[in-house]
Amino acid sequence: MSWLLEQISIEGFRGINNAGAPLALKFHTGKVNSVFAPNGVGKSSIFEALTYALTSEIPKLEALPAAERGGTYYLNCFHPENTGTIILSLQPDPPGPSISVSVTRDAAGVRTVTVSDGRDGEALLQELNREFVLLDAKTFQRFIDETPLNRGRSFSGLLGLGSYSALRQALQALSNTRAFNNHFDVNAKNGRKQLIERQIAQARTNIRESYLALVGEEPVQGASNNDLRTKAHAILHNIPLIQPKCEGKSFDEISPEDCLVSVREAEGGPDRERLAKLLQAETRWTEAIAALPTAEFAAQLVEIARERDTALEQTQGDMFLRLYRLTREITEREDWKDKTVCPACDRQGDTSVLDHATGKVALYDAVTAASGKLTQAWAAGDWDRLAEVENATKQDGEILQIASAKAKISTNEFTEAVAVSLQARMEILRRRAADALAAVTAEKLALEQKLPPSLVAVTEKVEAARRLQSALLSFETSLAALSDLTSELHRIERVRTFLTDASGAFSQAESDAATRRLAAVEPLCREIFQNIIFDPVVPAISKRAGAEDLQISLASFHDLANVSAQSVLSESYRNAFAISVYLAAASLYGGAAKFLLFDDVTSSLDAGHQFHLMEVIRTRFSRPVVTNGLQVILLSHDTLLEKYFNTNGATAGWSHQRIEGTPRTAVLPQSNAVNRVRDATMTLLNAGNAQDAAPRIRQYLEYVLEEVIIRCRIPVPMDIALGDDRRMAGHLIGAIDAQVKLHANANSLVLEAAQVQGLNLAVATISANFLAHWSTGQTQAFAPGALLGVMQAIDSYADCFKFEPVPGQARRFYKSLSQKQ
Amino acid sequence: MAKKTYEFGIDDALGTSDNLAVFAKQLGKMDAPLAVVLTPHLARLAAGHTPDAAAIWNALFAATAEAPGQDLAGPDDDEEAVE
Repeated sequence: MSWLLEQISIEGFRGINNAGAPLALKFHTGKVNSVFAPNGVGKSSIFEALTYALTSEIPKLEALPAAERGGTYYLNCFHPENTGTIILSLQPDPPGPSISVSVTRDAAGVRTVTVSDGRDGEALLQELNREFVLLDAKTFQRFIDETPLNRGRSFSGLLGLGSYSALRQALQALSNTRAFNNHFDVNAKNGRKQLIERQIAQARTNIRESYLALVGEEPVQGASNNDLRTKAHAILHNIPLIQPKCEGKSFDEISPEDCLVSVREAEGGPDRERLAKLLQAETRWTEAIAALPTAEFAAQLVEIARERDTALEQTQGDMFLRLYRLTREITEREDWKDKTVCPACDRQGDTSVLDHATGKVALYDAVTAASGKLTQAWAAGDWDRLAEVENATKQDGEILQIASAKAKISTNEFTEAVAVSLQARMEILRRRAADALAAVTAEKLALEQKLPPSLVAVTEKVEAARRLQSALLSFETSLAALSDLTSELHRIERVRTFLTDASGAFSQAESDAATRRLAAVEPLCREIFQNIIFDPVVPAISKRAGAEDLQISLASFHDLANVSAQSVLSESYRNAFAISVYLAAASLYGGAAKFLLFDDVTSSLDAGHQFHLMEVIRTRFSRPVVTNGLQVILLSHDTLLEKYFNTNGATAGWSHQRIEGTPRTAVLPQSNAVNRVRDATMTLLNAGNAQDAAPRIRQYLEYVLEEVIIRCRIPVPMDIALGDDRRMAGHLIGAIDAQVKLHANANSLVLEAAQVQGLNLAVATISANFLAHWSTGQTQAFAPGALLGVMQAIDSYADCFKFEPVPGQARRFYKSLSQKQ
Repeated sequence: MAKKTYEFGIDDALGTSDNLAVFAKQLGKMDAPLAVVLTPHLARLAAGHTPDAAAIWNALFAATAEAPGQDLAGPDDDEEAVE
């Protein structure tokens, strides 16, 4: 649904106090609207109020240093309740019941939004917050001066693609490989998978060797683990000495300990017990040695650590990374013409600073990549087993190194030196483990010689059975773990593929839409620009496929082709370029907001170009000339432009109003509110407040004088309102007086003699008691009693230009100074 | 490697929510159970909210318990499809 702005009502916000009587500016939804205000009256406060309503902030206050406490200046400093209220009356398009959106901000900065029909106010305001709704000179200047990337992002919003652009960026963030891998710990999981695969291979070897020792033959090819268990069970069951221990049990349930007890009971003696322990120790050492990281693995770890150290040596810490990234960002900008100039010291070198910064950032990326590689490699080692070996072979006074190296991995301190030290330690531990195994084996062989062969053979079978049980268990556990891990990695990969495809599909669609819409905007932009500037200058806008940045240039500049827009265009032409882009995009790709507010956008244009721009807005862009076009609201303090507003304000397609007042008291529109101005002034004067009443008297006086001029068709000089605004009322009185005298001399004056006398008396009072002080700024000279007399004189003055058509009826203005009705 | 092409395109005649609904259907074709998780976030992300990436990744991972072909989660219902 689209919305038009019927009215904005403001109280207690920025330069608008209006305590108890909000400034209510009505806008015509089917016309061009203009609002004129002298400087310091509150025109920009209207713009800022709408900015706050739509965006929740006022950028210039948010940009202030913290010490300035910008947040406290959202509210009017003089408002007694310290609360700001902005009410937007919105009319749907096509027409339907209007709604009112109330936005308040309290002294603590808390914002509250309510809508008359109960809908979600913030969502509605967010929908209305399109890039073309709030336009001021800064917006246009920024558009030209921005980096192509930031300009492209603004432009995306202008093309109605802002939400698509936001979603694309979010999807790209979600599919970012590095962040995604870190979240799911993918490198470590891949390393762990390699470790489990090695453990499975080792378990297979152990199964084969222990089966061979127990059964006396290799496992049959293709035999399942259960086949091996059945055969192994049969071998043990066939040994009479331990048969009772196997009866009624599966192979896994047979206890080697119980079997050895039977052997010990058959022969007895500590040697038998010792032999059993030696056989177990032999198994433990054999398995431990097999699980130790290989020498090749240790060398690989050293190599990766060296690679990371080398990459790290090329970098200089996080602070420099930030420096290089910022340098790259600055020197990438279009307006950084000479890439060999350093943005920090302004010195020029022989080579590109951009290339240098890009190369430096790449070095940091290399560190990240090497760290990931190290993490993955580390996870593939069975460090727990190595730590067990270190503990088992520890010598007095020795420091445990494996746990220390493990800690260094987690703190990113695993350098090449640490890796070399670890490599040496691993070799020592490997030798110690081999020595321990050799000692155990030698003692075992000696005992086997000493003990009866039959019982030795039984003991060996029992120990082989123990190893087979362990290897089968290890194999099956590792297989299950591998299956779980593989499944987890597949699921992670599925998420990654999904997000990559989602991001890719959306990016491609957004890029295509941007290209398509840009192609539609450019010709219209050129047409608008031409109708403002009327010079042989043709703007051009372009976008690389798939990229966010937007390039601007001039397709032609007089008789030159492809010229830099930033370099050759004057400030006024640059503004005209930006205005053309915004108007073209807004007219083609409007959205929920069917209105837009221009705040003093013509300040850089001369009178001729101001006129051209206004005519473009009136005849090519806005309602009512453009059916279903946008509702334009123009705010200006430019007195020349006000002449244009006044001229058009008298036509059917334009609505003009002027506001007056002060931030201390109230800002009020002159039209349709004169009675409120009069009543408020009288209230202040009756309360003895001359200081706050004085600006309102001026507002009231100017209104009355202008009404006399308009109603009585009194010709006034063209530049009547161009001078010092404090003298404007005096100028108006002088112009009226001159015309009265002219008609009196020509004997054509319609005013009665008493009215002419009353006129002079009123002027004398107004001049002596008000204008004499007001025009010189001596407002402290005002006395409430005298000003009450001035208010009466203003009314008397206006009455001198009226007559009573029929006795008892309301008095009416003369048709002119020479014609009664 | 040839650049991957996708079926989805933004329709200029449709509003944002309608285009997001079409995109949600496209996601459903890529991986229906994961689309069910991501789709409710689209409107918020398009409104400029910063994604809680960890939460979204975890929810997507949890959804991989279902096979890709299962449950298209009623993508015909556009209202539900985009939050």
